[in-house]
Amino acid sequence: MQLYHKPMIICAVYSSKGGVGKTAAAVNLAYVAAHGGQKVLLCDMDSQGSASYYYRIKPKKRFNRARLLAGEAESYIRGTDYPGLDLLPAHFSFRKLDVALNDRGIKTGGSALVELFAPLAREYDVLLLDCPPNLTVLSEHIIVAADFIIVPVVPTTLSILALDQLLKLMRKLGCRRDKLLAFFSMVEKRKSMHADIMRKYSDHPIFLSSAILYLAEIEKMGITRRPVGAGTGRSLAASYYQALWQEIELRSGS
Amino acid sequence: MRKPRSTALIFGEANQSSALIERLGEHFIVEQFDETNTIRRYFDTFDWRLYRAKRLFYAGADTISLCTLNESPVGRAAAAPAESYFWWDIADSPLAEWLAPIIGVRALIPLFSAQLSTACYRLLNKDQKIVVRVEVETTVVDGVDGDQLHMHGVSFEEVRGYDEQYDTATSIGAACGGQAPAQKASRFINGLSVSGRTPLDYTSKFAIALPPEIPIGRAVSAIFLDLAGTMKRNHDGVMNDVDSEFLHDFRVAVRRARSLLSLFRKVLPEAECDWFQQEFKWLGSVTGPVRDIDVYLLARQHYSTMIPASLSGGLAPFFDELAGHRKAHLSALRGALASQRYQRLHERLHEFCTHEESPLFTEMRAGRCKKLVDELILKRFKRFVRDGGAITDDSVDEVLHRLRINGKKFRYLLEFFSSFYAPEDMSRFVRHMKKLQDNLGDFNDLSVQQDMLLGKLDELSGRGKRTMKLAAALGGLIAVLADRHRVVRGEFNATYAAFATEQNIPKHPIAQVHGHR
Repeated sequence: MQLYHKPMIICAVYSSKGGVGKTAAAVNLAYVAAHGGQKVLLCDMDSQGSASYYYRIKPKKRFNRARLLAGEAESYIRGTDYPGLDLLPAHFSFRKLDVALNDRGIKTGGSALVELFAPLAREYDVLLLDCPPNLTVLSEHIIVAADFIIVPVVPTTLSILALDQLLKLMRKLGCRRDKLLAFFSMVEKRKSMHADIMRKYSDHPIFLSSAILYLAEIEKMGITRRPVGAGTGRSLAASYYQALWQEIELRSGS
Repeated sequence: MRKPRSTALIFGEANQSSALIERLGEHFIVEQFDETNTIRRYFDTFDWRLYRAKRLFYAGADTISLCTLNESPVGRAAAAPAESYFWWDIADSPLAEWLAPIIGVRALIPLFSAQLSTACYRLLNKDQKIVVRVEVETTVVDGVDGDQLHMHGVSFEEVRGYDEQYDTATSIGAACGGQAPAQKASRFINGLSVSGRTPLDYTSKFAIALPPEIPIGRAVSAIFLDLAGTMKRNHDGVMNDVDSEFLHDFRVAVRRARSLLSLFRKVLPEAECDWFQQEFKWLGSVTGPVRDIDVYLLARQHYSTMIPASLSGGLAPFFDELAGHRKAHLSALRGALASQRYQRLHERLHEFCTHEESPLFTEMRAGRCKKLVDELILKRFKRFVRDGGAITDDSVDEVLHRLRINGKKFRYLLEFFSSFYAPEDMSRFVRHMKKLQDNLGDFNDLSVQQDMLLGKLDELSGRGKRTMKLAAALGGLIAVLADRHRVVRGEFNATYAAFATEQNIPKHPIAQVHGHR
């Protein structure tokens, strides 16, 4: 079968730190990938449901964590307003997903999410996960299940520390180091610390050369409730996400 | 995973579809985002080859599309607007691969034009999220009689995960008078109804059903009128040189008419029979040269592949010259078909076949036609088997050509009166006969082609490079044709033996015609 159909790629947009532009990246990368002709499913794993909010999608009433873990995700997927792009909305009950994973006796480092996502490969080329900002059992499952972990890094000392923590966790879980793809996010050129940190780490192999600048139009997504590329005018932010996705595709060999 | 649904509803009146949009506004935020106006021209071959294959073809402003009969897309390609399309005109598009086996050498010609106005709507929920997509389409077709046909359709497209909203929208559609279209009520079929054409209204096959009790004169009249109708229906296509098959079908009708005269010679009034025979012979001769050239031009690709590529380039001037001759012959043919002589032939034939005082309807020709046909078939069949059985490896080519002509005449006889006999017997017999006729037909074609190419070779003069290359290519072709000619001749005896087996012959309806009906 795989001779005729490329296997689905799972990309988790992850950071243990909050407010680093993770959801903005997931929402816009999903849009760019679908706009380029790929069939994309964006999974909103964060119980805050920001990605779902940006796409104006609420979960169906019957949907919850238990149904997700029972392998019924397909029935709760909803189409976005954009061709080729669907979304599995977040649910408030997702906040206890890791507890549920433990309750179900699923061992850390196991393949619970891999099995849950496997049936989606029939329909989608790319699965993008918008992950909650923490370091929990769920994070471990996501790290194991993902082919690539895309990590937005604000060029600050604490973000670099968080990245280091993630690398340690990946070592512990026995994951390949090269599936981590980091990029600088919310970059403010006028800040010397941002420039210094970027200079120091830009040649590091886990960092992509594309960066996302701090732009008002990305912040305004909360008002417009659409990806930056979906507006009518030319978008600078959209071109950054476009370049970032191209680089991810190149690294992933797809 | 279940695919998102879509449905189309048709409305009788334009105001029903506008009322629908208003009603949808009570449940959703309705946003119109696009409106398009296009002209769609529908095409098929004159003999409905696409329709028979359950396909339809239309051209937009800069695209051509192949669809199923209910307009589900099969393929689409960019193409400039044209009056007609051959598959080789669009050879570089993926549609050519679909079209070539269906339409062959026929041109796709216009059936009718439809003006399509489409308004696209999005139904939004209170989060301004699209939950259903709706298209309202109005189609206007100008009929041949000056009337206009209006069709109103609305299509709904489900957005994944919003099934309840889709169900709400479609039930509002049904409540506003929308009905699921039957396949027979598609835009294409409806458009055709005012276009002046009816699906399958033309076939090159002879297909009239004569009642078994019909008298001789009435049967002859019915067949002649049908053949004259075929000539008239192909007349414009020949005059406008739309494709080669108009002339081919025209000539087959002429040949059939000549066969009918010859088969019924003994029972038809002599003077009329002679006159019509002479006039149809003239019609055959004035239409012959263009058809002869068409055969070569249509086989151009085939000829080029019969000889090595290093030689086939030399054939270009041969085909160019043929195309030049064709122009001159076509001009003469157009003159003949526009002449008073041609007009007069149709007038007299019509009078002969329809006038109650016509000698066709005298007492002498009031006998039951089937009785005569039974005898004719038996006589012709016996003669065919006798002549075929007498052919040996040493027989001269002429004998095989005569057998072919008699076989063709015999086949026309069977086609004219096939309705007198059980269809299964007739089709079994025709199947047996086809293989033999194919062999005889190939043998004749190869003889004619060799003679023509040899004649061309004899005409060549000079020592220019072009002439030498042409001579080499013609020589190569003649050698290949001669070789094939030998093989086909060698196959005759075995093919005839398979046709005339002890087991086959008694089963033929011909050997037992008196036992039927």
